[in-house]
Amino acid sequence: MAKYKDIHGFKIQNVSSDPPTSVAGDMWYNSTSGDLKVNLGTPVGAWSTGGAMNTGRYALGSAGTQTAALAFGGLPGSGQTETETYNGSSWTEVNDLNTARGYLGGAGTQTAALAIGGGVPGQAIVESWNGSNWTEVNDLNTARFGLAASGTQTSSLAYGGAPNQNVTETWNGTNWTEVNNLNTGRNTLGGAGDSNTSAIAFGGAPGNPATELWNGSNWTEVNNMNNGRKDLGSAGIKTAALAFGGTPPDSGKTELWNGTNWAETTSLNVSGNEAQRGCGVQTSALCFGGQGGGGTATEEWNITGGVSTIDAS
Amino acid sequence: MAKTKQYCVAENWGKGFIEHSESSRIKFAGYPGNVWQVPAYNKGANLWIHKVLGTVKTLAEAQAIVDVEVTAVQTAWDALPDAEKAPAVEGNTRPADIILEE
Repeated sequence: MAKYKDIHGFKIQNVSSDPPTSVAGDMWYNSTSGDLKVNLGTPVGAWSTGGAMNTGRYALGSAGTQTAALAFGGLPGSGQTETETYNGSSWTEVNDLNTARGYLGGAGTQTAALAIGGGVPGQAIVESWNGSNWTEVNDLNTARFGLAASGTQTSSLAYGGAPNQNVTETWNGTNWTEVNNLNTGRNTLGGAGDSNTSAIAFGGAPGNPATELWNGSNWTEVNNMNNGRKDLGSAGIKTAALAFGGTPPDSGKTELWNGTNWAETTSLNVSGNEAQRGCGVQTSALCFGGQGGGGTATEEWNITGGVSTIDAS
Repeated sequence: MAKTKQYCVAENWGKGFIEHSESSRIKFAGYPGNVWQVPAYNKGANLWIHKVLGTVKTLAEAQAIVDVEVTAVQTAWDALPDAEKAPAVEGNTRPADIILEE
């Protein structure tokens, strides 16, 4: 096998920290972290198709990551109970929710999640998923649907909801406690976050671009989305979020949040769709379901390029 | 005026149907009835249609396919009891017509 030096005429640089700037093709060994790294060029984000859901639906609950996702409940009709898990390529039906409902909130992982509120009229029901079954736990203080939720099974946040509520509640693993309200009441909004002390709320009916950040005590208004919309999907955390889909229009628009601003990026492939939901992180997310396209479509978001660590194991 | 978009019908089989490398170079828009809109006179788009064994449709043909699907969804929506149409949620509205572009 040819050596790097034979090809390029020089050895890979051995440095103690990553260079502050690099260009596509640059490669170096970071002796501090022990990583071999390469600059793969300008990061490019795009959606690709994933395996279809078994049960088409919209306004469903979601939790997990791109390769270990959980989808539950949703519409049409008076509500669905179906729960499915995604392994990175296909969906599998697992045990149902106890109470059928759509427009519910979701938080947690594929093996430890919460299904929060939802239903029409709005319900206070909360169910906990242990990887096998749903069990009812303590109710929300304020019954509602069309809310957003984020965090984990033991530390989550529920905010907003129909009709144009600003109510926020925190979950400590046992009980819900009402805390300070959103500045702008709204329903069918997007939300992301990793705990009950760190979250971002964005969008919502009727096409609201407002974005707010939660610090564990208060919501603070920050820069708006470029495309205000309702019934959108979301992924990520307070400082690095992803917003996608929703309406109006049903164009699959996608935006990246860097902690300060939203930037529009590559749209979803499936258009004419809304009320999709999602999970994952800003660089690796999943979008599934929706109203208008049969409700089974799944898309995977990835950002490729940039500085990457080479797995030399 | 030369068309800027073309349409085909192709079944989305899931992973690999549209890949990251394709989506980052080609603007896709999928519609009900397995109708896909991609750029016209575009080598990458033509290669993708070939890859997915897509059947090329005119705008009118594609619109007719989409209309059938949308009408079916709208009919199902109209048949729902009022209580299930959830008017209090502004997102839960009757599925809208979809008009494809030239």
